[in-house]
Amino acid sequence: MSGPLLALAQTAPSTGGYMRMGYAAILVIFAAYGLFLWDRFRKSGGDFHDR
Amino acid sequence: MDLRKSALTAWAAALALNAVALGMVFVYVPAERTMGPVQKIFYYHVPSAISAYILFGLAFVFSALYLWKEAPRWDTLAHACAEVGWVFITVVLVTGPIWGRAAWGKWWVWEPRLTTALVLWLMYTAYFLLRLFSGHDAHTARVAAVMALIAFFDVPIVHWAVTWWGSVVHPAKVSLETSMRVTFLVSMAAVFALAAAFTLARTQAGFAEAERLAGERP
Repeated sequence: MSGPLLALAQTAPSTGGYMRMGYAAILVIFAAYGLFLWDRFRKSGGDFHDR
Repeated sequence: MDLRKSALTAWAAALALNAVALGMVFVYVPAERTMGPVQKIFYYHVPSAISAYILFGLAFVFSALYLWKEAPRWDTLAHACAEVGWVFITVVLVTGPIWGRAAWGKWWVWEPRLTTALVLWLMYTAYFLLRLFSGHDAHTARVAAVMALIAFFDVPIVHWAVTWWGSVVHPAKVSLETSMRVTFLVSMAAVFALAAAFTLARTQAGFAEAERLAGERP
């Protein structure tokens, strides 16, 4: 096989819906963990300080 | 070490780099020829997997240090790295099937890399269940440290599964067009910065919790 394995498209199949679903899932997971972490940090009574 | 300054720098870098990376993914880089736009999941899927590998590696090192030195700070660091690593491997296991459904027509295939990655996720899930239901004593921390040491041995198995056993869906090596390579490198920096920001915040929360628990003990 010659050339890059992942080549740029001239005419690409319409899989944009799956791409958006994938990035929406990434956003939801990171946002959920960020909120969980923020809540945990707040409840721990923590503050950023030198250690 | 000034954790506050490091955490703020990491969050600023993470937000800026992710804004640039997402701009490149959605606007700059063209769609791939055979898979179409869904291939763009690659730009966060692979860096998330590498971030998880690194964080599980750090959890392995800190767990070993805890078993050796028995200083609680190593346990706090190991727990933080394992937790953030678990979030990133979850991203990999969620985005992979979405990509797979569009590219191969199936949500899941029981092939070596997918199976070993699922085993990895289950092992760290067991680690958190142990920590969640067994309290905050030194015995739990020791058992968790041993679990983190054992679980890490699945990381090289996941990574080399394709080389050792082959795969119908994962290529052993991927070559990229220039614009794809540049976008991939920027995405990698963005995801690493996000992993660092999460880990610093989680570490600080862990230290604060440990201090609070130590203060509550008679």
